[in-house]
Amino acid sequence: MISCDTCQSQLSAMLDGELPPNETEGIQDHLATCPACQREWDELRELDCKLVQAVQLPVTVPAKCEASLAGSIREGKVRLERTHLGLSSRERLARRWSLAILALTAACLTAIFLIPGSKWSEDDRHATDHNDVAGPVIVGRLVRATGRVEQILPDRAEWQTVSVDDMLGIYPGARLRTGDGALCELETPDRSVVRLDAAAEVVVDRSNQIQLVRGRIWCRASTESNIELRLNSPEAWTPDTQLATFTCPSSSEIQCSTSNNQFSCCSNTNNQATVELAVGNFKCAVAPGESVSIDASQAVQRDTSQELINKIWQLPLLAIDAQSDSELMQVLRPLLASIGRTKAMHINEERLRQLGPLGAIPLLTYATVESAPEQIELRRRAVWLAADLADQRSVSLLNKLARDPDAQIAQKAVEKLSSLARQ
Amino acid sequence: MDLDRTTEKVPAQIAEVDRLDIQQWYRRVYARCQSLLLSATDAEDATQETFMRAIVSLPELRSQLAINAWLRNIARNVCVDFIRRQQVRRADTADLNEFAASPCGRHRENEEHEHLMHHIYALPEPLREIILLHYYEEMTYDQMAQWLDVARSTVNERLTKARLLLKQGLCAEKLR
Repeated sequence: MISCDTCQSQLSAMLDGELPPNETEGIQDHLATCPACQREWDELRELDCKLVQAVQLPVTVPAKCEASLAGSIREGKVRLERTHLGLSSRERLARRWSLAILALTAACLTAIFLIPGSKWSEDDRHATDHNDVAGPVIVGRLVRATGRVEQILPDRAEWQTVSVDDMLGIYPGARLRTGDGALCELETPDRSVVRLDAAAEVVVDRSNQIQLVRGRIWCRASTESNIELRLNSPEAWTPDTQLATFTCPSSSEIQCSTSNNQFSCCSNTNNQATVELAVGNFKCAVAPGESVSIDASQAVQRDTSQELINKIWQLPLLAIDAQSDSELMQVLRPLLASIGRTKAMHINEERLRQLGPLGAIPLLTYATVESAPEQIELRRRAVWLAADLADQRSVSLLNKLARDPDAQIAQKAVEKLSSLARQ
Repeated sequence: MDLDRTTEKVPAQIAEVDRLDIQQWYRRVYARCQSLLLSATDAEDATQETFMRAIVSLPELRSQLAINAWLRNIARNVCVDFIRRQQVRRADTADLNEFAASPCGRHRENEEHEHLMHHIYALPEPLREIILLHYYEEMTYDQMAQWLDVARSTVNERLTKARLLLKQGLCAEKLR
């Protein structure tokens, strides 16, 4: 039996239909036996009627506001940076770039003009100003990362963390390293892309000049410029110990790695000219679609590179922003395709499994993002494979898939969730 | 390694807001402005100004998840500017006696609205806002809780309290 106080505290919610059915029943039972509460209820309903009639906003008002805003925008009263029209991620990035450059230019100018006793001549000032505007001072920006990325500036001693949201990007000559399990992607002002595998280290001399100190990177040169790559020996790193050099031609992809005095380079695009890899005076050509490894004694090993398999390590990175960037789909679709259940599929599967729990994330992301109905088989395969790999980090994605319209996928996700919960 | 955090961030990044749907937000922003400015005409201007500022600073909004707090904040700033500019009288000083002194019992229908509004304006600000919100826009308690960034139980408490105060106010007026 409920008290009058409890009853009256629930009347308002009952009026708005926000009480669960069993509580509503209890209140109604009480009202039937308690005239005081019944009177409260009647008064409340009366008040509600009055309010419903009196407190109204005409339907046309929001539309009027919208029209008036549109008018102001047309007449130029509101200055928009094309934002209300929707910016693509490219445009957004370009905007970030211009802001970063602007901020740096402003910082430099302030420093020059404000530092007391500055010996800069009028001409020098113009020169600095000109340089900053003509060529950006930053050589790259961190676009996405799956973990901690650090940089050390040329004249500093300590590592500092770089985050994706940083206004100021990567400075010329900065050394950049990724932690364990932390992949990252950089973009240069001219739109070249460089991806670092976990535990890799590079020195970004200029936006189109990169030294690989340790680990593995992949880069795609923009349509406008080549990327010069220098591979260093990780054992004794000094600025002069570079051992191999090559150029990634514009609009093509190259992956390279360095370990134990061995360098390897694979040219991933099929439509580009041969890449020349130079180790000291020794030069060797890397044909498109070919992978070449050279050790310190200049022994050459050639392999026909399998572009897709070479890209598998990048999958966790591609899972970030997968919705707006279709690369994850492009890489995973052929990897998951059954190709008549041949050996290739097993090889691909094996390589995906090697990613470990980290690999479950791109697979599950793929399953949530893929919307083409004919790809249902691939989605199922992705979820099946991921279910073997997933750990706690995949819980939120599994939760999403547990509500998947496809019953098999939903069931698999639910099973995996419950097995994770038991662990 | 904190992939966990990064993947958690994914939906937020995806949901980056490119366009502001004015129709969707209008009523709740209006209720916020009116509860601060205590005037329908000022509220209309302030709501428009809020959307104007929101559209201009849209690129600063990183994720759709933050849109509630962001819009509420802009609306609040706009209203504070309005109050400073026009020296609009604050609600806490709403004078019910003055209203009661006006010829009573002759409330025509369009005056009924003014009359109730006067009582609503006399409520404390959070109760004022929730009443306006509730009657301007059909929102569930959960939706209101999300917009106001309070617990669902708080929504219930505020509505109960607001209705009680309104009822008492109207009752006291009858007796006078």
